[in-house]
Amino acid sequence: MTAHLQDATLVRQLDGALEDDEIAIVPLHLASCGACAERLATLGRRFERLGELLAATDVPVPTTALRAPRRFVPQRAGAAAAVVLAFATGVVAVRPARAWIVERSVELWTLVTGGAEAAPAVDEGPAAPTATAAAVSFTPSGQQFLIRVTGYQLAGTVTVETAAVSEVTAEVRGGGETEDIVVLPDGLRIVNAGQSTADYHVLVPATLREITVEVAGRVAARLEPSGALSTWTVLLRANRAG
Amino acid sequence: MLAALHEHRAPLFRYVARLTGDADVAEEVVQETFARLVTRSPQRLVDLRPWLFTVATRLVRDEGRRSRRRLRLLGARPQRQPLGDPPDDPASSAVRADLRAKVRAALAGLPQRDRTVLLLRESGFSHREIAEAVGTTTKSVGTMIARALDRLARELALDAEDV
Repeated sequence: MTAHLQDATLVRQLDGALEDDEIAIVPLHLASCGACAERLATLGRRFERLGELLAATDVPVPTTALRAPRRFVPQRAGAAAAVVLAFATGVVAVRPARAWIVERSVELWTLVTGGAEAAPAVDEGPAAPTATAAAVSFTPSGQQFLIRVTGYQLAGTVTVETAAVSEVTAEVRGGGETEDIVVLPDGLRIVNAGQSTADYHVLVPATLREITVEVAGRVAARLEPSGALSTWTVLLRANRAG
Repeated sequence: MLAALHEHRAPLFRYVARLTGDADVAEEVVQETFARLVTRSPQRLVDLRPWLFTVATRLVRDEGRRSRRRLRLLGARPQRQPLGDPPDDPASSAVRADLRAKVRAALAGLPQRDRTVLLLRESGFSHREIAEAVGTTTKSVGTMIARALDRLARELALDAEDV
């Protein structure tokens, strides 16, 4: 009796990867062995079903194009220079890996464009961060301010408080060690995790004209301080933002 | 060249996100992979796709080693949950989240090399290309894929009519 083919061999058959010594044998065996032919079909269905499952559960690909390096971002007057970081807790610096990536991106962009092409419009939200910290203070660069939260959480809030201050101060309260606050040219990004219960407190100048809070890419709140001293709270639990 | 980068970015992101189960890590690995083109570009442009996936695979492998060390030091802090679309409808969102968690858990249960090989196959690479990417023989690739698929078939009920 001829032994049945192993799954590894059947996988190679499915993938067109038979070894030289298998090419003449395997198809002949499959033609005469119903059990192996059925096993081959089963493996094929498994691959098909697995592919469907993976595709159905993929996280969305970020919409950001290849990140243009900071120095190519059209600068509003003094925007970059105005970003001052003052860390409230401990010593937190730009992540070396991220800094390295930004640095290399400059070279890459020069390489792919020959240095002649202007940088594309930059989605400044998830763009390469300038710094991460548990708490940050910085001067906003314009009258509109965007707080972009990566996603919803088990619990937690974003509290926006307007005050007679000139700097934005943002901090994580009550969280674990997985949350980050990333300073962006037009606001900040809160990088959180789905199981987080952290609260985020953002103190902003009351002189800002508009503050937008986005959660998972959608606008959860649009605030217009107009000089008033107020406090708004945006819930980060799914479907309860408001 | 730029078109090639845009062409490969999304598939590469999906592959790394599946491999790591973490969208943030995937984004960072993809960025770093493209950044490495600057100094260590493949000899021929036709080889760009396997080159990118190989570099990303090795970045994940190296990061995995560092993470394991870190997790030991931190007392095995739970991993972050991957983030997805905002949950429009709580019921369907919960179902999707459950399914995603189930798939991720099943993938995470595989030995890293088997998971890598299986996901490279899902990304359309040949056994020869996979073997080069993970540093093994072409014949071993079939064995690893079959082993990984068998385990996932049990954990994800791939043989059932409706999963």
